[in-house]
Amino acid sequence: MSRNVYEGVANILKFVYMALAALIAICGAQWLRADRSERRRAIRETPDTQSVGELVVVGGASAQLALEQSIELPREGTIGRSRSCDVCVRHRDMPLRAAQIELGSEGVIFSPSRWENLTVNGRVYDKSVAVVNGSRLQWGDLTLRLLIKEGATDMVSARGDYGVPVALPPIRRVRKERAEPDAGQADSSRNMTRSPRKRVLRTLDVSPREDDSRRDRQSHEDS
Amino acid sequence: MRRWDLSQRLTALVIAFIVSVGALLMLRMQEPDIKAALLIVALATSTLVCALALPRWGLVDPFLVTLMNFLCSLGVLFQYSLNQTMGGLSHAWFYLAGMLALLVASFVIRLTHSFKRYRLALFIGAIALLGVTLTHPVFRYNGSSSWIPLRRSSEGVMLMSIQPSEFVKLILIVLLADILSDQTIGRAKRLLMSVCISIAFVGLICLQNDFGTALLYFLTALCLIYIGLSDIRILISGCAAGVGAALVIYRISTTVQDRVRVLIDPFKEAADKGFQLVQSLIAIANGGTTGMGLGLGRAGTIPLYDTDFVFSAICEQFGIVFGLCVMFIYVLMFMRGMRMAARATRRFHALLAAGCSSMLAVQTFVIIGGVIKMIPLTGVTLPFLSLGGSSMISCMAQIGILCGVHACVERDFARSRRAVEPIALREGLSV
Repeated sequence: MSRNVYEGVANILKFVYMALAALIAICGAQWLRADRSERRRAIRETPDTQSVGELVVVGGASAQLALEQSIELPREGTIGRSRSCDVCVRHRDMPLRAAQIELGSEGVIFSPSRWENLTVNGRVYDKSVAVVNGSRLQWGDLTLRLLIKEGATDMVSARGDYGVPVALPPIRRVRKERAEPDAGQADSSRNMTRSPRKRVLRTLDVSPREDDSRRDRQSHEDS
Repeated sequence: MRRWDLSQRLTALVIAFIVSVGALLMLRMQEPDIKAALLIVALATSTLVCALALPRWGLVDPFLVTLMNFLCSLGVLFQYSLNQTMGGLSHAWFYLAGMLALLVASFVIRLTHSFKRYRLALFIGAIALLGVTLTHPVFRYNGSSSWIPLRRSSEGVMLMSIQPSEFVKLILIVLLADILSDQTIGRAKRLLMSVCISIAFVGLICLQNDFGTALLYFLTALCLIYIGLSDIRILISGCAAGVGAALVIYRISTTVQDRVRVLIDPFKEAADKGFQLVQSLIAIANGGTTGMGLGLGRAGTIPLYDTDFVFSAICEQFGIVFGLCVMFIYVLMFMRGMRMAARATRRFHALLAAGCSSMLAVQTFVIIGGVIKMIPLTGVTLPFLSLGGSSMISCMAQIGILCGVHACVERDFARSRRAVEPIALREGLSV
């Protein structure tokens, strides 16, 4: 190709390259935004995804901790009276940094801090112990019962299944009478004003948790 | 689904870019350029595989690798247009090696949730890698001792070399993330260990006379320690210590004094110390908003146009608007990495993601800022675009670490959605 022809073609194509780069940048920004919206929607549908269980106060209630008050348990972190702990339990008998917690395949692993002990179901431990669902943890007068979400430990035991596509699992349909949160309503009304092509065609598939759990607790109390 | 459409769109745009640039390069030659054709096919295939096949196995984040492939393809094709054999083809081989490093890093992060057992070995290995270049004058080149030469020409010009500090970057991020996430160690001890490791690495790199890389290490370590310990006093005292160290280095090093003087007025010494920066600014200005056209600029007039000043050469030929889009893509990659850090369920993964994103962002800022006369010029490379095997492999390994963290985060999130609300006592458990 002669030099002149090449210069002409290059001068035309430079606008094409500029446009392609701009489109790539815009497309990337759109993708980030869409990913954020989808994640927020997923968290709204299943708001408890960040915690793996809870600690329920069953003894030693105080002004700051009421009886049957529940404290969310993260996947890993520290528990203690100090504000810097991930699980802050404001009780005079709770040590400043009581233990380190981590979700294991058998339960929640509590590793007491140095010079601290841990009482589980009446037994004293000074080393790491896997605490199963329903166990009682005691610090002085304070007694907490550990409740682990069903399926939470599967997250750990199924760690080795490589090759399985990482995709959101199918979840059950929501009942029509379930009240939508305000943000969700705003989103859905905004979606309705959009053209059908742009509307997010998605069914809000969420398990009817609140009703089921209330029914379960009631049947347990009755029994 | 909308997100899949965006993924397809982005991949198609990147492939369109690769094909159009490659086609123009092929037309530039008098006879058909088979190597350019093979490059186009290889880059397009790699982009397709990374965007469509690898995410199905949970190995990569399609967003990150697609943007990374755009930058790598731009780097390979641009280096090919500047210098076919020494530039383009070698950069293509480094890209291939980098892809392997990406997959290995992603796999390792998915397997290992802690490097506690390997901390001492990693630290000693890093010190050995950094220290070996200080042991003998044979490692000295162009005023610094940053490279281990593998092949030299008869005139003593380094033809092939390894830069150990590029690989020690990864070790720094992994070590700091592991220590700062270890809740069995007290907070003060974690801070002390992190600071000692950072000082050791930064000190050795300063002894190599490579202050640009030392700046990278310092800023990344400061970010990680601040994120890990969440104390504003650490950030303030770290910044104060950094400013103090910078003043001391300024008093000691004539190179740094020259660079600062050139930053203030490069045209005063345009024929001497300021030549590089002046040529860079002239090239960017010559390109204007739309550029002169691929292969039509005078990139040869810019010193080190294939390494430190590749951004100036790109702006000259593709235009400032194109350069801004490239910068925006780096910003998108940084945001994606920090978002992964925020979503991570494990502290170790969060700190890994934050460390890798910070390192890439700081490196990009330092080199582009130096080239456009915003901050003093340094000798670091622009990730994915600059010619340099160690830099390419290290940057792609960082993307691999981010992909590994992404895989763990998405897996945990998907499984946690299966869990239902806490149940009361199961039958048979004692009260």
